Amino acid sequence: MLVLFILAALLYSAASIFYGLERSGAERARAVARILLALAGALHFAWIGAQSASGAHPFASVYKVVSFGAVITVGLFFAIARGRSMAALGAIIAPIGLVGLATAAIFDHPGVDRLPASATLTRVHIGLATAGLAGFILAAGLAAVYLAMERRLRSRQFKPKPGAISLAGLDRIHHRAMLVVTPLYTLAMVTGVLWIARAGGIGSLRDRWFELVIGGVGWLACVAVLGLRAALGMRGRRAAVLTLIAFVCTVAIFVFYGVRA
Amino acid sequence: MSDLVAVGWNHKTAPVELREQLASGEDDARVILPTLVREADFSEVMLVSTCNRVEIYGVARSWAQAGERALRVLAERRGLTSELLLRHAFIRGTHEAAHHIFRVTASLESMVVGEPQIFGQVKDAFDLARAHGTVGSILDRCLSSAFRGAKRVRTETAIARGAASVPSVAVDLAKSIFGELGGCSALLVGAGEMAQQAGIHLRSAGISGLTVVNRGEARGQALAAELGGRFTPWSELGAELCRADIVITSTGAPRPVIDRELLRPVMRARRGSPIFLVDIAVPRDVDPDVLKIEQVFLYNVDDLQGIVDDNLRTRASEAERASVLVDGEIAEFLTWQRTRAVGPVIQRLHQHARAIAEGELTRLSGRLGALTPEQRKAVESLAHGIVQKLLHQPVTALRKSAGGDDPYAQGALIDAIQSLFALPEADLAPVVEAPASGEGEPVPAAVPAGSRRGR
Repeated sequence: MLVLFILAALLYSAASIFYGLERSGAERARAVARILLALAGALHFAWIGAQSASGAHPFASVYKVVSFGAVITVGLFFAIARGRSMAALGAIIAPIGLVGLATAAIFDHPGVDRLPASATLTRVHIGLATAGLAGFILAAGLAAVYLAMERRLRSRQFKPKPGAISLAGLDRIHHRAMLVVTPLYTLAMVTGVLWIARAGGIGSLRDRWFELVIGGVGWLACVAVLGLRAALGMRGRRAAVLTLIAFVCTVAIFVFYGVRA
Repeated sequence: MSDLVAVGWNHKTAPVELREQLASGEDDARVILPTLVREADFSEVMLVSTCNRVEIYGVARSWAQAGERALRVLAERRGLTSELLLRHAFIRGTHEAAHHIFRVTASLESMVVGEPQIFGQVKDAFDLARAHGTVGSILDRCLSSAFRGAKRVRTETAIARGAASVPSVAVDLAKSIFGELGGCSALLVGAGEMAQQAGIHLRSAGISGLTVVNRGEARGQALAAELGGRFTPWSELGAELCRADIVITSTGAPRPVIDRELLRPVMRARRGSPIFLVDIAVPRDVDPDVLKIEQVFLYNVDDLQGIVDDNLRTRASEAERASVLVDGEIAEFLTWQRTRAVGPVIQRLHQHARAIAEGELTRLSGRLGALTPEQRKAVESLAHGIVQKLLHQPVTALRKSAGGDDPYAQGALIDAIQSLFALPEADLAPVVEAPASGEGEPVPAAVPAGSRRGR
């Protein structure tokens, strides 16, 4: 297991470096970076699989959920980047994969709180939260790439590259990602509230006000991305900023869980 | 020995007026190619005619003579004086001709270095010549190597990356914003030459609709008709802005014709759909303040020219890498050509020596008296052994010269050997014309030695 972890970490690091080189003009680095990231994701997945086989399933702790979410994000990245040049997104996803891997390896140990995955409701909540996190990382990555590209285009610093994804293409994929993420996020919120209420009674919700408020803000941001686009045609920069706000809220909830665990 | 020849006129040597008069279509080439074989003493020949160059590549016994004769042939056909053509022409032979052909094919000699059309144009010219039976083994090998070099240049360097003209940069930027332009519509505000160029580029990029808005109706309608678009009066500018994705402005107006006040309601009506404004007018047609509105992208002519300059700088630096690649292919071809040239000389040298030895054996057979078969074999073996020993050093030197870098040294050696051993010089037979279908590639005559070396 240790070998898998070390190799995955090295490959994620190398992929991050090669994506960085590609961004600074070394175009051949892109193909190498893709291969390294694919190998890193595969080894990361194998590492999680090996841990599951030894009894520590991917939903055992919040750290493992983060790690599993990160590896799903890597898979989603390859799904959407097929046939497209999305090196900028790869440059975001590769370090996130490394962070996910490292989070589980560094913070998860037998002393931390185990997630009570015995009840169906809890299992559904954790599953939705994991999938939502993966989708959110991807949507936020797309939003960040959109904002960077839009900024360079508007400030006339942009240099067209053949085969690179367009701004409209990024906006379209970002919108689709949010169409998937928002229902997952909503259901994860609902099941989370029900879980807390069932475990400690309605009154216990008062003790979790931070998560509820932050979760609510993130949810409103998600709904605004979809609702304002449908109603007013809002897209582009504003939608990307709202997605990033929602993502920050999600990360804050996970950090809160992590610290408490 | 046969020399490679490159002769012609291009954007570096001749003005466009002369190139226009010399330009040859496919029908012209059908007549010119056999004429060059007949009258200019080419054993192989092809004609490349593009807007920037009219060039003849061929193989002849003497590159200088063939080049000059080719000039005369073209002068007669076009009704021009040989002096005028000679003044603007270049004639290159042997390795310099090879360098030229390889570099032209790899787009290193193009007006815009790295432009992709030249490869196809040389390929078409080569195919046409082959179909008319004027391509033999030397041109075939030369052009095949040149095509391989050109492909390597395109795949292994960034010489063709980045647009090299203002309209094509505008199209690339539009693709960066909208992706494929198949679903986009364009609006040309003004009907000047730049708008026309941009319209042509947008059309070839596949935009779905094109509208021209111009104050002058006649000019606007003419441009719309030329570009396959529709004309709309100036009063409809606001409404057209609501529909268009890409807007090219090139009016002669002294003040901006598109400003924030005009664009704000337009963007509301567009419901967040982005708009790309390309302002190629001087003075500018679009107030830079429009950039304060979201989803508006604005580039003026200086911005676009900056990208063009940057791309051209990249191409220039990549051209050095490309030259190294092409030089490798040229060296390989020249080595092949030199190896090919010494083969017949060595063969003739052996034949000549063998003939002398056998002649002497026949002459002496009466004086030697009755020899047993073993004795006769020993005498023959002695004669052939002496011949082999005497030829060993010249043959080794010839073979070594084929692998060397100096074509002049090799030529001098061949001349010396032919002269010292009084070898007969083979003639270059004209290429046998193949049927127009291209079947049956012609075979040039054996390569003679001793022709004049190139520069």
